[in-house]
Amino acid sequence: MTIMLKAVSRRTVLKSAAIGAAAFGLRPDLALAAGQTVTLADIGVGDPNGDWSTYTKETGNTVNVVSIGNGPSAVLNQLIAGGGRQSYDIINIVGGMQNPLVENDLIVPLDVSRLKNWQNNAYIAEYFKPGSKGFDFIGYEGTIYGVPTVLQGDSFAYLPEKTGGTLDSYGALFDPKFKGFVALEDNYTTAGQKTALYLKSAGLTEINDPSDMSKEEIAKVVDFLIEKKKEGQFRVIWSSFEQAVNLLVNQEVYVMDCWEPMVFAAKAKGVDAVYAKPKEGYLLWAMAAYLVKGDRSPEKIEASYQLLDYMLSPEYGAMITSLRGYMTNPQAPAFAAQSDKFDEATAKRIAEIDAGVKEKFEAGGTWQARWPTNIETYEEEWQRFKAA
Amino acid sequence: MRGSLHLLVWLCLAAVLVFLYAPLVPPLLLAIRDPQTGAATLNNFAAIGADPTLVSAITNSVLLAAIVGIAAPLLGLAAAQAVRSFGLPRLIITIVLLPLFIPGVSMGVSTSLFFRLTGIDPSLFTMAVVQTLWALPFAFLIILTVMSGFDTLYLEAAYTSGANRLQAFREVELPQIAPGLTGAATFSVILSFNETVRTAVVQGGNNTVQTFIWSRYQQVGLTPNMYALMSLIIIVTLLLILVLVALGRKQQQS
Repeated sequence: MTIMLKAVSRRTVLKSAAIGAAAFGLRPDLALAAGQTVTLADIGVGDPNGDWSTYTKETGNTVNVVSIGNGPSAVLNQLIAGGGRQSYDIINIVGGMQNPLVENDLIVPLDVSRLKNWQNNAYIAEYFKPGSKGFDFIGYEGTIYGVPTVLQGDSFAYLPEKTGGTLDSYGALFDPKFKGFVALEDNYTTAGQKTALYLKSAGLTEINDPSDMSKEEIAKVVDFLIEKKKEGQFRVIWSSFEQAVNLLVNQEVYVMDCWEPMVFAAKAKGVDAVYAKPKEGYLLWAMAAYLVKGDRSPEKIEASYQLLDYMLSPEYGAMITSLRGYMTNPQAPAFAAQSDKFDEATAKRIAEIDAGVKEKFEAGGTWQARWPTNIETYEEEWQRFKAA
Repeated sequence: MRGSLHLLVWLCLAAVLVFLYAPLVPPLLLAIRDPQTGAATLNNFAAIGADPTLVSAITNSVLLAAIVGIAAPLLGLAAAQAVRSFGLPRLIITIVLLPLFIPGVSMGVSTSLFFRLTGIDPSLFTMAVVQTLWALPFAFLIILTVMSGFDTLYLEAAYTSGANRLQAFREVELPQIAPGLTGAATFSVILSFNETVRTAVVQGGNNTVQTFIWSRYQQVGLTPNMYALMSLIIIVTLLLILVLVALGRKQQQS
């Protein structure tokens, strides 16, 4: 029995060594990190409906996707109190909250030289240049922490049949003509900031920077919103994707502060909804994937870098654009057109979405502030608006 | 006159039933609808298996339900026995029922902080603990109710006949209160499968069906296979409730 065991173990060792050597000879990176499972905590947008087959085929690693909430405090709580530091290797969330993530020692700087897709991504070079507002969505104090995964410019949606024509100002959200048929998102970094953008542009309130307001400025914005709320301007303050889509589909609201994919979803259900091109500009934002700080083996870190690199690939980008309706990767439309993974109509839609978002970035606007200087006042003021 | 009154009662009952069950219909309709053509189809049910994240969430939910379905009734039984043996029934009942009155988020957050302080990493174990805490008061109440119908004179008789405590429990009491245990287990399974908030806070690297669907609902919308899964959960839950009712009837008859 002992002899048999010895023979088996010797054979196994020799076989493993041979496989390892062969793998190393063919793909050194694969030999370093194969057979790992990378846990990706994601807000839902970054999951290509479970299809990580290319990543798995190329690296020998698998992905475990875990759903997390998108609110800044929800993300922090999951990492600090919820044990996310141990459980998650990568978090893919809306960027711009590096301040608390770095200050609480939750994420690590990225070595972008380990990401081969970083260099050929023209969007990174264009929209996330160091020193620009966009850089704040992936970096902090000059250091890069995040890989940008999706890009978007937000405005608002409307139903032209009900509004009687084109709307091109956030002022439509507060127009008495649509009283009782307007919905806002329950989020001060979107609805609050769009309101500030409108108030500043219309010269109604003095606001220095709508993306980072002083305590007095955010109070004035909320005063305005409360006044409108009391007048009965808002039908509802929505808080989830499905709820917002249903508001449009059931035509319960005619003008709505929302995300563009909700318009795609409403259109797919036969509703003629339009995502506005506001003269005040768009609310620009990006999602970013971060490496979570924790006690991890070099193999796990390598596998995580491989996943980040895959998330920068044209294939992943095309899948996410197709599924979620956001711009991802400059090469995604071409990949979709050439690859047999997408049919012609889908490839066309991917190209249209990409072009549409690019147009928004060219039109410009203001970057969303996920972690404004006076965040506590923002939180308090927003609660005041909701309770009013 | 009597006939019309009878009809009115039935109409009221029908109205209550419609009010209760109408919200369960839309997911069923969306589950059997082809998103492209709008035609009726069962493909959405087949598509559940095509999403690995959804499949792993289902596996986790089933495992958790099995653990909670065993742990909560056992703990509930122990607590119910304590009520009978130790006196101070009100105190014990209040202590066991307390988690019922603490809001889900607070319970989840305080449990996750407890795990953090004690150095326990999030896993299926932490999720099972938080769900068992949630299911325990219900399991306890069900078992307590069934045990209250059991006459302890039978135990006295068993002791007189030379049985020890364990034998008396196993051979005399257990067969009598078994429906209570089954009911508590069924209810615990249902509660485990449906729990979202507490579980989400301590889930770490694991989804359950509910945390996954809730997250998708908030961020990116639901796909038809999720409606199909929701429908299956609704149907299974209703079937389990029917089992509970059947068990109750059986107990009454015996």
